[in-house]
Amino acid sequence: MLFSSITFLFAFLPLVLITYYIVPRAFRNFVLFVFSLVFYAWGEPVYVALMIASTAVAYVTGLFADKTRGGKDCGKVPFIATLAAVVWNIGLLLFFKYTDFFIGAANGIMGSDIKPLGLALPIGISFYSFQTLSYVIDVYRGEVKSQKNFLDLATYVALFPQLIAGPIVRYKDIAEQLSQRRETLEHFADGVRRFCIGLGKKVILANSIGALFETVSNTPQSELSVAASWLGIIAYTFQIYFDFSGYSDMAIGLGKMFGFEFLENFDHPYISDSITEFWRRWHISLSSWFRDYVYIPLGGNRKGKLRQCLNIMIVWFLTGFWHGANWNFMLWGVYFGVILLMEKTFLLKIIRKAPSVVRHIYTLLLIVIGWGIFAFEDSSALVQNFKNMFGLGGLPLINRQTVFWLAQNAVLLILLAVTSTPLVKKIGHSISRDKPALYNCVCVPVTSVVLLIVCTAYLAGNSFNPFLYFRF
Amino acid sequence: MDDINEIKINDKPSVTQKMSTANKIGYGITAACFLLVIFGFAVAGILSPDREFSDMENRKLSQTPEFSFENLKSGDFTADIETYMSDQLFMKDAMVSLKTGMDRLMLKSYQNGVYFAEDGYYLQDYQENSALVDKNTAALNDFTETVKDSAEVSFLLAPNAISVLSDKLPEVTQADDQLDSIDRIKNSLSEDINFYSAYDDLKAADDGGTQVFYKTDHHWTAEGAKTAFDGLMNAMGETIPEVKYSVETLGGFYGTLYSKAPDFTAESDEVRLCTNPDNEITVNYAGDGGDNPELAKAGNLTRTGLFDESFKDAKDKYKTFLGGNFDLVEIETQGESDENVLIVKDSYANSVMPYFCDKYKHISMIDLRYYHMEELSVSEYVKEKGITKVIFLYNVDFINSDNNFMWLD
Repeated sequence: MLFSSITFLFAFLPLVLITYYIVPRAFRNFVLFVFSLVFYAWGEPVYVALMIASTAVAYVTGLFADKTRGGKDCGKVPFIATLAAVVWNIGLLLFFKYTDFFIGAANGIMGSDIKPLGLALPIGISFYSFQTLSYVIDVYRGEVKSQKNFLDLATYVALFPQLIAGPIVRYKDIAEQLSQRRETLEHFADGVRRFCIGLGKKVILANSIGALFETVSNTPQSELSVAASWLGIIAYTFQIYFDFSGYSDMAIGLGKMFGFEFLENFDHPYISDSITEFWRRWHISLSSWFRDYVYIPLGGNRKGKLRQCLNIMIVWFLTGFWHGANWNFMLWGVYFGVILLMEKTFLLKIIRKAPSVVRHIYTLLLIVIGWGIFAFEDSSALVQNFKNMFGLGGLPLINRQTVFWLAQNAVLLILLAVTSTPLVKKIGHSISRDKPALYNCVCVPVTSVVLLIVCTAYLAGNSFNPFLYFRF
Repeated sequence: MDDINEIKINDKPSVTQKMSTANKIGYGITAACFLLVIFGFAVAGILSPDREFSDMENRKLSQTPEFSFENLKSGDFTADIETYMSDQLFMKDAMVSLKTGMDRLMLKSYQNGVYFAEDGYYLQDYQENSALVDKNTAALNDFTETVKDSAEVSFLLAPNAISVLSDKLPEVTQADDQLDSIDRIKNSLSEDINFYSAYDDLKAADDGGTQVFYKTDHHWTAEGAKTAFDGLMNAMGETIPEVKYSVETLGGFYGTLYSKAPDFTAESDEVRLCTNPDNEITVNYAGDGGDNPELAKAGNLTRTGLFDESFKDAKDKYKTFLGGNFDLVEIETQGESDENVLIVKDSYANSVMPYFCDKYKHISMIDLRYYHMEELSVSEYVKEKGITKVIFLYNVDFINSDNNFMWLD
């Protein structure tokens, strides 16, 4: 089920809220768990079993990975249990997500004729696999105690707010909240605000600009222009940010409504003035996951410069590949790996001397080019688009069609550019500081309800409403 | 926001307290408003009866999905619920209008294939499909070749509002110029076809202050149709019957273009029905196909005027003209000229029929969208019925998009 759907807003959400708040506290995790299963099974009635199996594996391996359990030395058991969890989760990902890619690659390279499995990718598998993995590893490392209560662990894994599009919530961050959290009115109101903002980002902004990208990429080559190919990829740049960060906002907001605090996942990434900074602000829960469970275990920066470079490339290759089983995602990861390496070794020193405008142009240009790699899974379309962007496609600089698209989307593009910066947030903060009563009694409720109703209108109009993360 | 509660102003504890009470009221308002909206829509959705059809969107709405384990397993059941929920959303029409309003607020002048033009006109976009235009023109030529010995062939080509009213279009559009298409058709048309494009006459009428197209529908008005009829008669060298029509006006018409982008602020149109009280007309729905199956099987109906009463209160009031489109309609009138005339047509012809009926005594109408695999091919029909005049009546958009001209063979 999508958050941005009439069914979620006006059937699922009212039902889960009312059930959650009328049952006694002791049953609340159970309510969340059951509703989360329904939420997941809504689009994936069969794969819900897989998620439960994954949870069971995490539960059992977690118990055995706990070195402090029973207070005596358990020899190699914790290590073996952790290894088992790693094998299970990575194996699951490899099997469901990557098998067909490898078969295709093998067929391409060796000319063999192996049949692809043609399995549908279980939605959210990349998110929940990473979550259960982090749980077992953290238990093994002694950073958190193993969870004895299966239901609490299952609630953590299945928790519908973050189930299908992140953020990747780590067990240790919410371990305490699972057993003892306090739902307050203030929390709930803040959750409403966050949810409505996220919904607006997804439905009003991302979907609208996504329709432009869709139109441009479906337009025949003969009707395009250089400007149109830039416009298309800039549209995608906005779409993916507002879609993804909108989802994270909705997840964080929903979490708050049920008394959970999730960590932030996006922090205005497009205002960065280097790629290094961009990756500190973009999909924070994913990059920190790779930092803590891949980069640092590989030795991080502690084993010499050469080893560090290698580690960075491994991490970014994997980051790219995590986003989808295709060459373009690997290329996208490696692309950022190379840029980050260059920034680390010499580039950052040079660009620090440049004026701020230059730094921002440099960063945005590299980000947009990055999305140009990310957006096209078909390699010939990818190459054609870059040729078009850089004047090698034999296209006019601009044409009537492009001017029309620009004119139709001018206000939207300005709105997107402005809301990519922290400006609106800052205005909100300053009102809440100077006039807290006005802010809390008028601004927040009015904005939230207006956004909610306008989003309903957009959803009712059957407009373009894609789910971008089915490859993740 | 969280910090505010913790601000300690030691000497004025009452201020902090007041602030924190105000904040708490604020949290309550936010939570209550949100819950009111989501529970409100949920409950209203359950209580309000399901609709079968959306007049505004001009389509059938999905109904309560049927449950089966098969459906559930395949995911069809949940998908059906999603469509059902969204189709039967409480205040759906208002919501759809709000979406259009938001688009217009963002200065979008184009939505779903229509432009929001000046003076409240919806103008339908036009993208020339040259290959199809050529193919369809060729079909008209081929047909003319087979009937030209026994019948005189004329062609009334109706431009669409987007070309006649191009002054009203937004500054920047992606539309192609219909005048180019009209020239293209004219130049490739056989010499045996007496061609008349209504563009100039409609443009002149519009300049003179006559409303020739509906604001919310893709058809021409009664006045536009009459203007084109007069022009066609002149082009055919015929006299125009002088008739005093009694006019009935139907208000509150929101047409097909409105349905593509429903908007609060749109003005409705008026449909005017011209009747000659001295002309008794018998309409025979001679075939059995068309977009109005009930009437298609009605057979002979004798009446004054050509109008189907049942559409006067319906959403698509343009269908009042003849009740829709049919494979074959045969009309007997007390018109001026005792000739057998065949009109091969699209829906633009329907509103011209009141005027044709005062001109010709025996009129047949064939719509190629429905006249398929009939007993007689169109050219056989011409011979069999002793047709002496064939009139093609099409609008540019139709020639540019329809694939049924092959049924002319």
